[in-house]
Amino acid sequence: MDKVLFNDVTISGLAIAIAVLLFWLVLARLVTFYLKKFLRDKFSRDRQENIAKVVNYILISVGLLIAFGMLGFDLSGIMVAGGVAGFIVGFASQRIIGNLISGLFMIIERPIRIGDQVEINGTIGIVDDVKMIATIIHSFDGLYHRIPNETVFNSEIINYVSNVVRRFEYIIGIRYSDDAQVAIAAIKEVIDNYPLALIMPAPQIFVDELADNSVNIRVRIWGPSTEWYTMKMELLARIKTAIEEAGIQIPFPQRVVWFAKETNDAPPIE
Amino acid sequence: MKDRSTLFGKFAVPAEYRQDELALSVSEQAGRTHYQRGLAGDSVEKFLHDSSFELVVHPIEPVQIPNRVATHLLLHLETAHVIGPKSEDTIYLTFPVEIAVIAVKKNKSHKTIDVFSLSQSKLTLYGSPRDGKLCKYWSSGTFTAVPPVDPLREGVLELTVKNGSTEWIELNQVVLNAFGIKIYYNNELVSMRGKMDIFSHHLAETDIVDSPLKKGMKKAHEVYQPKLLNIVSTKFTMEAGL
Repeated sequence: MDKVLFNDVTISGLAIAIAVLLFWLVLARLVTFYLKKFLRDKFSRDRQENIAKVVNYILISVGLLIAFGMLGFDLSGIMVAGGVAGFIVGFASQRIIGNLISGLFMIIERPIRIGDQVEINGTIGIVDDVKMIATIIHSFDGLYHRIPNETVFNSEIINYVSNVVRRFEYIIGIRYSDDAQVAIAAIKEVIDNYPLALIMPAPQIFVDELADNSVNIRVRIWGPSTEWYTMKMELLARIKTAIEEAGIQIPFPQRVVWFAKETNDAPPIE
Repeated sequence: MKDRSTLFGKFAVPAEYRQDELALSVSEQAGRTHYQRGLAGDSVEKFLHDSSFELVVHPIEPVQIPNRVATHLLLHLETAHVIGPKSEDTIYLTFPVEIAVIAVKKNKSHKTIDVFSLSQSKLTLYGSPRDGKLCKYWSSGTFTAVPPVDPLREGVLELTVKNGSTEWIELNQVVLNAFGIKIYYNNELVSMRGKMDIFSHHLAETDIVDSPLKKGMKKAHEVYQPKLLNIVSTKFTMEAGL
């Protein structure tokens, strides 16, 4: 146990250094766990995770510094010294460093937060975690997506809940023979009686198109970003019921076909 | 089961209250308190198990319904109120009443069991979609004295308005921060008091005054609490128009 391995460090010294490092790793884990519990009712989930991560990384860094110090490594020398080794390591890990730096910028800029519904690079889902190297999203069908932070940072990000409110719309087709004003009144009443549909910005209901098969009424409704999908699912069914009760029908696709008569009315064939 | 004539106050087990579409009952079943509430087709049923607590029913901050997404209360004045430069006026507005059933222990810890309202609920946005405030919306008349209201549906806000600007200001809406709303009540009236400082056509600040409108009114439990480590003011700056 007293045999010297390197830097005047013995086997027992190495074991102690490893034990100290393990202690700090376990301590970091425990502190993070209880810190998250403490912060649960006090901060949003996104902020809880960020605070816990910072504390976790600080404690691990302290453990590493103490362990390296016990092993006789001079970390300041490693940092200051450039050299070929540093260049090779940096070149080989440039993507990882790129992801790390992108992750830091994302923490500062905060285009997405844990729990947000987002679309990144064609992937739609909910942000589970923004780690140092990658962002974890679970899609609405339960799939796990790990997107490198550099990709996230350089992609177009659509955040569906970043703003307080958002708008969604329907296009409702009615027969040409139906009274559009009656349909609009029925739709307006449904929206007015729905608590989550905002008064301002005001909903818009108007005849938008005289289409091939129907008169199309466009309905635009604003709602809280956190509730819009529930609203969208519920309101369409209610609108359908309301307009049917008002005697309005939603037409099937249809064509009117005119037959030319077989007698003298037929155009001459040339 | 004892029929109650008033809704607000402590509910001793067993007890029942019925009025119009509202039916509320508390009974004991197998050593547990059984709570039931029915209102306009919507019903809630819960069992409560604890060694000792009281059930209290009273109005609370009117921003819980729907879905607890609103953080502010916006009162739209059906009749605009015009205030001259450097002047002060006291007006009375109404606001929607939301009623909570709360289990309270002797050590004052409490848990909200149920929240309901006999008034219509609607939401609106004050400000821009990016950073505006989601508000519970209510359209109120403007009164010069405390108006007669049904305390189960409407409360009365006494608002002291100070126009500190050098212009005539037309007031069409008042926005209050949910944090810090203080509700006082008795069996005839639900009330709160507030103040509004107007700085210009586009800027004003509102705040709640923690005192009852009439003597002897009880203070409601504050259900809408700010988070501990967030510094939240009870004031609200109206920057998107009056």
